[in-house]
Amino acid sequence: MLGSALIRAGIIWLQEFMAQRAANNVKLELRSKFYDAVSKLGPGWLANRKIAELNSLATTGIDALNAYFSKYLPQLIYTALITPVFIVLIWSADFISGITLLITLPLIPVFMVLIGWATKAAQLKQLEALNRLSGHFLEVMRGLSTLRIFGRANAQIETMSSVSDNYRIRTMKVLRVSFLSGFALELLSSLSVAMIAVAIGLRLVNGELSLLIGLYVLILAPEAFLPIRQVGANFHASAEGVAAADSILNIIDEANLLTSQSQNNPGLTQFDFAPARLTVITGPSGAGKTSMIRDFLGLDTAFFDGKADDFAWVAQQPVLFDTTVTLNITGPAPIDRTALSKAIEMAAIDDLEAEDQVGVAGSQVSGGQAQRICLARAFYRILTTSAHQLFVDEPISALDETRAKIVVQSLKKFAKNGCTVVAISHQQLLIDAADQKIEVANV
Amino acid sequence: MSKVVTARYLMGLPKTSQFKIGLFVAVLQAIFSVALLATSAWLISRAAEQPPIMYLSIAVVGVRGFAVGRSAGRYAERILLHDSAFKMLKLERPRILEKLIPFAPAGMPDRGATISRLVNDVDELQNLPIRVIAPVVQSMVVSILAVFGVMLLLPSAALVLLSTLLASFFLAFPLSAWASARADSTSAKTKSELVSLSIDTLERLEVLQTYGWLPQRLEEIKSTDHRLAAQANRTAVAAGIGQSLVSALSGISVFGMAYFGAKSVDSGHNPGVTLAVFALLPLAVYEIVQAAQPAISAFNRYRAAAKSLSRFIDHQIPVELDVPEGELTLDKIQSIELRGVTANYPGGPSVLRGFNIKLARGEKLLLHGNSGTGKSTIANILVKFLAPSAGEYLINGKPASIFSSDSVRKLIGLIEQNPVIFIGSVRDNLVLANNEAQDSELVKVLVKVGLWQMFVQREGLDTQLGERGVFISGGEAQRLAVARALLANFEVLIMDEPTANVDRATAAPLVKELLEAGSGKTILLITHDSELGSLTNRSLHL
Repeated sequence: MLGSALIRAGIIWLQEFMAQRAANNVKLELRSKFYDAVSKLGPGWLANRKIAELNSLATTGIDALNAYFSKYLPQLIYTALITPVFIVLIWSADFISGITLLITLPLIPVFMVLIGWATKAAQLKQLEALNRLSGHFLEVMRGLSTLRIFGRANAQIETMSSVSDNYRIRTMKVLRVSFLSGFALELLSSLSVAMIAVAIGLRLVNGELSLLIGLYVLILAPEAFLPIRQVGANFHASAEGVAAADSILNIIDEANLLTSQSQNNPGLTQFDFAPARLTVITGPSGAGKTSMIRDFLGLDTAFFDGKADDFAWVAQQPVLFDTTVTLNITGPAPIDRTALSKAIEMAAIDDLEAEDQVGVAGSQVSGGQAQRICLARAFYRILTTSAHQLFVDEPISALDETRAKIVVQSLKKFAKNGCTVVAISHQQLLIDAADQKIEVANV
Repeated sequence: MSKVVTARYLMGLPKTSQFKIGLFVAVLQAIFSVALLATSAWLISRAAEQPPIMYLSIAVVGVRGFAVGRSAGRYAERILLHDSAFKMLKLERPRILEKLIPFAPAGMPDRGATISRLVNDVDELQNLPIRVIAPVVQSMVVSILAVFGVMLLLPSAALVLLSTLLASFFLAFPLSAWASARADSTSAKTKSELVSLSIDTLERLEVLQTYGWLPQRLEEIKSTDHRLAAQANRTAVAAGIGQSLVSALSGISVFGMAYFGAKSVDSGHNPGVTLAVFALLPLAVYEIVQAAQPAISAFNRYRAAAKSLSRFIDHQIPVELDVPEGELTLDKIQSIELRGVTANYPGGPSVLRGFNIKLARGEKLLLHGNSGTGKSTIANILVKFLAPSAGEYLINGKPASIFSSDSVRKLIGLIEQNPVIFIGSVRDNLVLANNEAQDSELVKVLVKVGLWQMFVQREGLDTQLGERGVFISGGEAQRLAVARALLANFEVLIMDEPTANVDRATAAPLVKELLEAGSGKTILLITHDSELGSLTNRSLHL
């Protein structure tokens, strides 16, 4: 008896470990496929999504799958294997208890399915509410300075509390139902065990049953109900992860569809930008200059390897990584020092050290500095790779005159060296330097 | 142990009577479940002696009562504990936000990562009441009661139960706690790394992709994920050690108690009916003790989250951001002046040195300077987001520190260089500045900044702007920010590079329009564009 207890202990350990490993493998796979899918779907797809939601889906959402793989699935298999054994054991020892068991046991999965149906919709809603909450936090943080300016930051404290409360009410609604299902299942199994126990007791009184058999059945009966009850409990615990996995699989499917579709879907906009020329696109704000170029470069359609190989693109809003100036320009590849200092010089970065940190989202640098770092990044790309087309959106909008002149000179230099250089701009300085002008009229 | 430290470990503890009742129900429920098995065992053994049925009826009622009570108690326990935990979270979240406010924008930590971390950490707090305190209290109380109960019947069996329980609590649990503690804390760190890496990638996907940097980034995510998985495996091993040890101890306990029970029945010390109780009781007790096992891992995670949250809460506001708060309400602005002001951002070098500026009521001043010369710093000082390290900020000739920041910001408005556009409609974004404004007023300011024509072609004030304002261009976002500032009716308007993303052709007209809209207002126009100087009364070069 002692020996079997110890063996059982060892098996418990092994089971825990194996389940965790399996869960990890699935999570790794799912996460990596998710990022692959998102990168294939591209920035255009991403622009219409809530990043906070996607992020929590890919991180905490996938983590919630743990419960599914390490608890629900093993329990399900275990139950399917062990429950018939219990029934046979009890049946062979005591016919009446066996019948009782056989009648009451199937009620549990039936109830489980019924209750599961009822909670599924609510469970999905809860995931939405959770995402909204996390989105709300991010929005408030992001706009905290604006909210302070308008004296609304303190009001957000209040709002946060009501959003949290809203979350609590929604979650409790779901939990009440899933706990109720747990309650129903537990009550059902408790009553079934009690029924068997009392019946055995009464038959013992009448001398219809020996104590040995009675005890034997009584110890086994709750054990027969336990696995199937735990399936129910674990099913609810894993619902969040399953819902998240569902959304992620949808995204992966969406990306997979792209592969077979429009592999080569050039932008609607067709231009012949002359090589070795500086082309400047002008026109009033809102005329769609930016979307024209984005369309031309195919930035908002599905992304495949090699798509961006022959151009460098600088968007209007500077995008900086929380690292040094150098790494913002060169990226993760080995650094070409000569090209780096040339790019820095051409982008007129004379007021920052290469090893200066730019801060989170460029918080340590000014708007003009951010713009020049982004330009240097594009220059460095042209200098070090086979990319020979340079597209820049409002490259000197935040620059002072001296530095703007240097940047314009650099653009001209790239054109002179054979690059196709295309700039969207309103700045006279740049327009005057153009070899070719394209005027976009208001739509 | 200082009070602060205690408070830190208890920050996730709901101090409500709901929680106490939940805890009481949890214990009661656990007692019921032990009582259920004990009564059943007694019932059967007693029944085997074939006494008159009436001797058994109480036990029969007991079995049924305990069964129903256990399930009902479990339900009530879970509802009460979860609800009280969520109510605790509702109090903690705003507290974190409140703490964060003074840091915006001058000392703002990394938004995406910070927020994800804060959200996760706050969520982790609910582990304390639900997954730590409840199961631990439950198993402790049940263990003590069971040992005392058995002691009354048979001290030697009680000794067996006591010693295996002690071994569970003080050997098996701490062992797995020790083994999982490291894995838990490192995995929390890795998890937050993964979260920030992920959000950084999603937010900057376009650059990563067009510059061919994405593959390396995806590799980085993958290796972080692998590290996380390895740590999770270690946690699983540690958790397994505890679980299987307790399982073994439960086997020993059943064996030992049955052995001593049988001996005492043999010697006639105890009636035969108690034997089944001795054999079955430890099973029920250990089922509850087993449930307390994950409490250790939960506590470790809770502690890591509570620590990082309280570090954030205890974090002193840097002197640069600790702008002196006055009690006087500012109701009118005659002049604002900076005298010999030197300033820097938290932990950074001085970006402004000995700066002087004076603006009289109604004056329109252009402040011209190259990038990196501290233009935005001046704006942050004027709206009391940042405190100068030297020099004076005077409003109406008096130190700005005597006025409340709220009243200063009611009259001095800042149009940020990178205006924040919130998810939602145009209307949502405008009423932020003035929630009493009628639609007609909103349309009026939109016309004024030259945006109405565009929105009217879409869905008017209900036009959705999307996350991070992705549905409008940079120039349009600027105009919207200007519209917002006009609605707020500031007396002094500080425009930080309002034309940075606006067409050159329309920059001058826009500024002109703004100056007209703000006639009678005091305006400080901060720009790198010296050509706009002709529009203002005077200009100043930085």
